[in-house]
Amino acid sequence: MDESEKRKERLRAMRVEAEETEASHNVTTSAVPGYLSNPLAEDTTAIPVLEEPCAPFRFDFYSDPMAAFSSDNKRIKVGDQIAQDNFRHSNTGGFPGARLPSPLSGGPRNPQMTASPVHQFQRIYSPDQRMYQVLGSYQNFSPQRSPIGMERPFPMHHGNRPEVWNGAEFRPPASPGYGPQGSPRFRPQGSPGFRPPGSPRFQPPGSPGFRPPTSPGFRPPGSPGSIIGQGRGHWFSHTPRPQSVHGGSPSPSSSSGRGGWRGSHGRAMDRQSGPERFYNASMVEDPWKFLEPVIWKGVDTPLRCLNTHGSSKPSIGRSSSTNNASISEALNKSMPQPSLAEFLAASLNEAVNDAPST
Amino acid sequence: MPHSSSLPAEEKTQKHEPASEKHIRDVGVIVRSYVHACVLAVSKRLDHRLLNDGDPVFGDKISLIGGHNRKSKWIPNSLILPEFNYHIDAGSPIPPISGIEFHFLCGSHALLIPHNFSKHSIGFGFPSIPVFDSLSRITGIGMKIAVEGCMHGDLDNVYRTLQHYEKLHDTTIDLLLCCGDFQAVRNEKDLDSLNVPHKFRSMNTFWKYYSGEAVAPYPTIFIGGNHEASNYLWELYYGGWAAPNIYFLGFAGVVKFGNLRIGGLSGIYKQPNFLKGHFERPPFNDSTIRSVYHVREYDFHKLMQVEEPIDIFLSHDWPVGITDCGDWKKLVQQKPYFRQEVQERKLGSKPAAQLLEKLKPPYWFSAHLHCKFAARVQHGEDGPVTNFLALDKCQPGRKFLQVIEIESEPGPYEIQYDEEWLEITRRFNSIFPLTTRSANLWNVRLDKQECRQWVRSKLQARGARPFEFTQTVPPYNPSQSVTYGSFPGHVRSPQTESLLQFLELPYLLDNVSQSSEVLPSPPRGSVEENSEDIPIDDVDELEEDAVDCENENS
Repeated sequence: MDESEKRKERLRAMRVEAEETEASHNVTTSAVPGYLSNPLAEDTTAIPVLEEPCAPFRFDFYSDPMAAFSSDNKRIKVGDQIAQDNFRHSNTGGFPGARLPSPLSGGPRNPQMTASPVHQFQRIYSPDQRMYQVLGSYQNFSPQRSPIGMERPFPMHHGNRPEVWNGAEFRPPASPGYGPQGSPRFRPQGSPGFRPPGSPRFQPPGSPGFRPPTSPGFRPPGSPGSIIGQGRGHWFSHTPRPQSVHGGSPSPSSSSGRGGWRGSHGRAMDRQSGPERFYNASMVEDPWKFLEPVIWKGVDTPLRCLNTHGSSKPSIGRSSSTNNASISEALNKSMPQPSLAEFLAASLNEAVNDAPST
Repeated sequence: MPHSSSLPAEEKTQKHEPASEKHIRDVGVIVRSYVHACVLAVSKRLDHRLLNDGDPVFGDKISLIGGHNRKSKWIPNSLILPEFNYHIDAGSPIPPISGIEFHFLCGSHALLIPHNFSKHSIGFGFPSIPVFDSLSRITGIGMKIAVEGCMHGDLDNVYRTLQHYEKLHDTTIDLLLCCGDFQAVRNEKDLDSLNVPHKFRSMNTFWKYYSGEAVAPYPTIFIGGNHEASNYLWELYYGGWAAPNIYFLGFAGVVKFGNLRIGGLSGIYKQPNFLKGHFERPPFNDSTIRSVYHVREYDFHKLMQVEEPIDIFLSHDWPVGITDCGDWKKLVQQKPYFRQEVQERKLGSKPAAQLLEKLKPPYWFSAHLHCKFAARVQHGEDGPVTNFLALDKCQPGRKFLQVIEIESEPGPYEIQYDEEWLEITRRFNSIFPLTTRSANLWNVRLDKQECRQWVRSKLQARGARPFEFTQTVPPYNPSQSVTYGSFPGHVRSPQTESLLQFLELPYLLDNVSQSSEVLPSPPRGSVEENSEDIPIDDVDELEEDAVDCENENS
């Protein structure tokens, strides 16, 4: 009986609402009843919307006939609204976002296209990192949301996977390689003591004096590796205005925007911004660490018999046919024609790693 | 001895120690954990620029006094803050100023410890001044050099990435080297001389540095590649400032930076054009827009005259055969289309290989193939070793940067003319080939030693700093469309004119009377020619090489 009563009441309310809507052509009057009028919205995710009813968005939602047929889209909408609601919390000076067209109303239904304005909106108008936190929880809402770009903070992100950068940025360098400041300088042993002729000041890796960035004792000054992470966390937990630290500005003159200052707990969106996307941990690793010098075999064919005018010894005419043969042989031995699977895998890796080129 | 009464618990067990020593130890522990926080904290209290800009401001704010130790190493023992009228002795407590009690040179930072120091103030209570890097320069500990692969006009992102690196590692970069494809495009007109597919013809960011809207945060030295505003680089054939703090090495060149000698060869090697002279002049046609960046024997030969040691050498394309000296298996796994070239030993530049063999520099950096590849070359049994590294282009996720640290004389460093190179420039300018005909390399008449002495005396009189940057065309203005029709094809750069006047040489770069000679048709479809058309991974390069191949074979 109770259920029947409720159903009748709900139907009555819906009817009334429909009449009112037809009469006024003004959906804003249906703010609260609107919740009742759309059974498709009756899931747990829609409830927060009720807490902060927002008429313009309800209008956008119902004005999009496609939205009702896609629970994903519905969630997108909810996500948008949550973000916008949060924006309202953080900005008392009005709600410029309300004038933005709904990502779902009009325009192509390309998920990327619908997501981008949201991000731009957030970047531009959010002065407060609460936005990122909200977005973070939103990300957790459904992993399927990644294709629409919600995990991509900025439209210019060229597709490198976030985990790559997260790792590069926050993985503490091998601790033995990051000695404390002022530690004795590393003098690797076993080097033949090579010093280029006439250039005693210049010492390649593997010889005394050279301190490749990853060698033991190499110190990016003041950079004690994993300890930095603790420092960051500590700092964040005490700072009264964290947003001033990680505004994400790429401006060279700004002290903000450095990934190193961001908290160590999951602000993936923030981390991907600016130079962090370009920074690669390999730039501080010794690229020659695992290489043994190979005796130079010379150039196959001469360019012209003039270039050694002077004291230098002739460099031309050195046959390296034996070398060629050995390389070819080695190639044939060690590099058999890749299988289709290998080739596809390599191609996939290339595609993933390569961004649009300039 | 004034000291805080509230110490971390673990320190309270050691109260018997003298306060100052304990304090030093405390600071030593703290600085490792919270040095970044300290820097940020002090940046709000002290001069912000001091912390963020580093050296340029450093000299005015802080100076160090020290002496030589037994190993003749200069060690600082005092720090002076002129602004505070303050003198700090390393490791010693000194009288307070402005509520600051203790000062230490600790690790890389001078910490200014407040009197009410406590456990709870850790992390944001200590002002600190990062002095290490400047200190390292004074003490001659090392120079940090960043090397970049292909710039493609993306200066903004490269500089930002380096600044990010600096902040992340609390260090400073002394110099940036770029291995070509710099795309020093000053305005829209320069795009006409840039050989890239149409879809990539964009201004990018160099113009900001040319116009003065932005300033390169590091001294930057670059060579040319195969995607350049070739009209502009031709103005600076002998090398010069392409923008403030951004130095073009020239079509071939050597400069000094501090005590380092840095040499470079611009362009890429294409056998059919190697023996020709520099016959191309702007405006370029479809053929000359490509050939203008092909390496010429004349420039190669000048570099082969260098006898004094070169520390770092740059070439855009790799020395041929370099793959023998690195992990070529991994390379061909990553780039299967290089397999044949590696196999046939045709991947790279022959002139670069001969220069590598002749100069034997400790470091050689290249780009062009858009991948990172390292090799170590040993020049004969027990001979010197060259560390070779090729780097990628500037894009997210790509390995386009490398930072190396090398021992160096104390700074400050600046780019300077190289005496030997000016001598070579002066000796060989008389045979500068300005047509398609090759240079008569035997026809150099000036005596090497006399010329060297002459250059030396000139440099002693004037100094070795390069002539100053001057704009020669209006910079790009994003808010204003400019018609460039009235601008001449070639503009004499005052820098180049000044250098030639300094060397008492004639200006030849706008010599067009001989450059219109009929070109001999290039050999078609030769193996040598096609061997340089490397199928690079990127779409643009593939397209370009396809066009290159098509044009040069037709």
